Amino acid sequence: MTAHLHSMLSRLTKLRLMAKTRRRGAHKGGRTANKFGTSLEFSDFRLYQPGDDVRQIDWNIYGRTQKHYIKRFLDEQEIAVTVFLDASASMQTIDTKWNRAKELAAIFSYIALSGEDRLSFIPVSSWPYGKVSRKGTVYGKKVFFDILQLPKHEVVGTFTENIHKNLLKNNQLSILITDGLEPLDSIESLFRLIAAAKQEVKLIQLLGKEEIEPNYSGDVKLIDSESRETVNVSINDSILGNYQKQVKEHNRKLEALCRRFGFSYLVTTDDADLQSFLFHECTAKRMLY
Amino acid sequence: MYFANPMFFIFVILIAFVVLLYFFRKQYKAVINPSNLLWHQAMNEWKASPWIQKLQHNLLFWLQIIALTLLMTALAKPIMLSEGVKGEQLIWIVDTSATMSALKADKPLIEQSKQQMKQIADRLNDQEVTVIVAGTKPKILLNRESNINVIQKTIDGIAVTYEHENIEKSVKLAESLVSNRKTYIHIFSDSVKKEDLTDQLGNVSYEIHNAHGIQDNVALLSFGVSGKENRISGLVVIENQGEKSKTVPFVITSENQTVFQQKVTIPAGKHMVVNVPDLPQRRFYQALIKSGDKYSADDELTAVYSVLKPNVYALGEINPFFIKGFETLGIKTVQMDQNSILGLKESGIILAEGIPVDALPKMPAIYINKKQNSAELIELKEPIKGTDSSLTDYVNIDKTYIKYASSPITGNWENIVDSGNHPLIQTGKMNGQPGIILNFSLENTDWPLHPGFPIFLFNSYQWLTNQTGFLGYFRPGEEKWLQLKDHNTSIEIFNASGKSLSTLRLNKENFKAPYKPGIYQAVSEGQVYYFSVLLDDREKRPNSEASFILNGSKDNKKELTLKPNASMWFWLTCLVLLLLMVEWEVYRRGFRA
Repeated sequence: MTAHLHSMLSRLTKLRLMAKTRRRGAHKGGRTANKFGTSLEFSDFRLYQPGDDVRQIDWNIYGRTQKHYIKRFLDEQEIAVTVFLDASASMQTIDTKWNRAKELAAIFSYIALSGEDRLSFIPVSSWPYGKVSRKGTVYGKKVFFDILQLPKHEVVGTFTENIHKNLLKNNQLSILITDGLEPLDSIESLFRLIAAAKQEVKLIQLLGKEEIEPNYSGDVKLIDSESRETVNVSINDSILGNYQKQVKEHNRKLEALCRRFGFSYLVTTDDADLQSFLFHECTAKRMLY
Repeated sequence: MYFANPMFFIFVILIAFVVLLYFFRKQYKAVINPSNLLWHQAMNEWKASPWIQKLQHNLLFWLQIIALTLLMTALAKPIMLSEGVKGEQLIWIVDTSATMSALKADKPLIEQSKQQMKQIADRLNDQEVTVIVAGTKPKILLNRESNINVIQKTIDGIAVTYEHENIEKSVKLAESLVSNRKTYIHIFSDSVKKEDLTDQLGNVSYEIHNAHGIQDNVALLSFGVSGKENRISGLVVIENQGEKSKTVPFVITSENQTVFQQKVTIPAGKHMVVNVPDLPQRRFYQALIKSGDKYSADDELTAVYSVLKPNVYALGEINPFFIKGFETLGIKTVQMDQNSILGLKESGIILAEGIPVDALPKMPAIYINKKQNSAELIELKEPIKGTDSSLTDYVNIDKTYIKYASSPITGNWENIVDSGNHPLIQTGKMNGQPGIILNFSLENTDWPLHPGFPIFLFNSYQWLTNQTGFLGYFRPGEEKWLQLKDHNTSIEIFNASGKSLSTLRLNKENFKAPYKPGIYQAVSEGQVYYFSVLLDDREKRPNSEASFILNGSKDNKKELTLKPNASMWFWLTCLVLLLLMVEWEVYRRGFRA
């Protein structure tokens, strides 16, 4: 698994996180800002005023016009990116799903770091563990593999309950990696909270294959991984059909909710091809470029 | 419906056991699942869905329950109460007379009777059935048969025999067959009236099924031809039995040629005599009316221009023993003189003694060769021997004593009886007519004292009449011992259209006339004989009566008898098998409850 991720890392460095927001962080970064700064991007000329930096005078123009002009450049600044990984029990129950969730979190963290953005990686759980806050390409690989090593752990509570403690103030872009298997009401209240912080949000809904096409048979007593509630189900075609209809309906409502709040929404499964998800679906949805 | 083996209902325990099994079987496998939220919703929706889907959910269980229930029911052997037939023994008297051939809705009435019989046969429940055909002589077709297949086959075999039904005799026969009190006699006829039966009823119940049919019928009552003053005239009586006057074409044909034709209008309920004054001389005439009615058996009649029972005309000095002999046989004997015999138009048989051979008229004759002077008589020494001939059947001529015989007449004769090489009785053609020659006179024998003498006379009479080629009139299906020239031969019977009907060996069996009225040919050794089968006069007046019940139990409703429906358990078991197959398929597809 890691082998193919290794080979992918070089390709991932070329990707950048798309952010529509014009808000920028305080530090220098890789994104053009609308302030004047020190990048190579030329902005304009301006007549010298006393107090301006003498180093900025364009002597070539002075030679031709005998006037002092300053040459100005646009600034390049960072943005603060937070990757929230839903580490609730529902994500950890299925191994493949949990692994894929970690991979996605690691990849987006790596992209953020390699794009000179400030990264905060927060595994959302009741247990404060594995948080990363870094800036700089040099940390990219380390963070990437740290996230992949994230262990399973006992968790209480749901994603929406736990995320409140972790919301950051100075943050421009949030990437939520979750399965969204929670009542839509609580998801909506969470969205409202995030939207109030004027952040740009990208939601990646990750579902396990067996959540979309359950392979249960016979009589099963389904125990909820988070609430421990039980449902007795005797599997048959009509119930399966009902369930799949419910999954579709839930996803549709979730997407509608995202659209209402102006969030980007992407859905993927744990058995989907990672490369095509990143290089096609994410670019198509203008999440990466 | 009731159950023959209700014991098997204890298998309910088995079903209860299966139900219990299902109750205890329902143990859920615990699975930790992230998406219970959606499962909850899915189950809620499913619980609100129609019951049929829930049934489907437990499909295997329901199929098993149904299969077991059916199996149990099959074992308990359900028996249906079905409509049966009254009585422990049934006697069916079937009228097969000519009137039963009348058409009703393009089917003969007999078919209607057969249909009724079959319907009763279908409802039989191991009851014994006796079938009597009410012909002139009642005949038992089936005796105490309880096999329905045999009964059905016998019913199929019943056909119209054109005889006159003898219901009275049949009923007597039926009553003599009654063995226990619970006997029902069914009569299938068309015109049985209450009065016909009441005076001879026993204690037995009767049900009479009269097939209605004929309303307006035109019948040919009689047809005869006779020769008078060198002319042949015919007389026909046609009767209109309907309620409207009718015009029918009337035709007389002979040997496929129409010889007379007329349209006759007969008023309702009247009969009419049609005189046909002049007919060409033929052997047979067929009278036909094209009435277009439903009963066609009485639309045709045959008349033969021939004297059926010809008189014997005695010529010359006949020994009175001959006359007495013929009279005891019921044959009219007329003494004639030579002159009056020539004016005779009617045919007859000549009995001649003491006249020359060439003086005989052109008629079949028994000629007694009597020589006047005793010098010509030959004394017989050697024993008398008869050849095997139809004339000498049962006559035992060898026991007869004959003292003197006359010398034979020269001619081409066949010797029937001789003594040594002296012929005593000879046959042959005289003047182109058959003849029998006796070369002795009765005075010289003791023959009249022997019982063989009248038999010989009868044989001779038969032989001579048969030589004319007409065998006579027969009733439908009548059996008669026939004396043909050579009784060892077989005789083949053809109908008018030339179709061979039957072959009879006359030395072994009696001659039996066909059932259908009409004219027939009988061929034996190249010689063609004719005979005619005539409809009984009583069959020319068909009428219909209503069906009724006599002596029947007062409650007229159909008795319900228990009829075990043997096939029911079989079908139930088949159903179970089918269900098992469905179960297997359901199991294979994984619909598991």
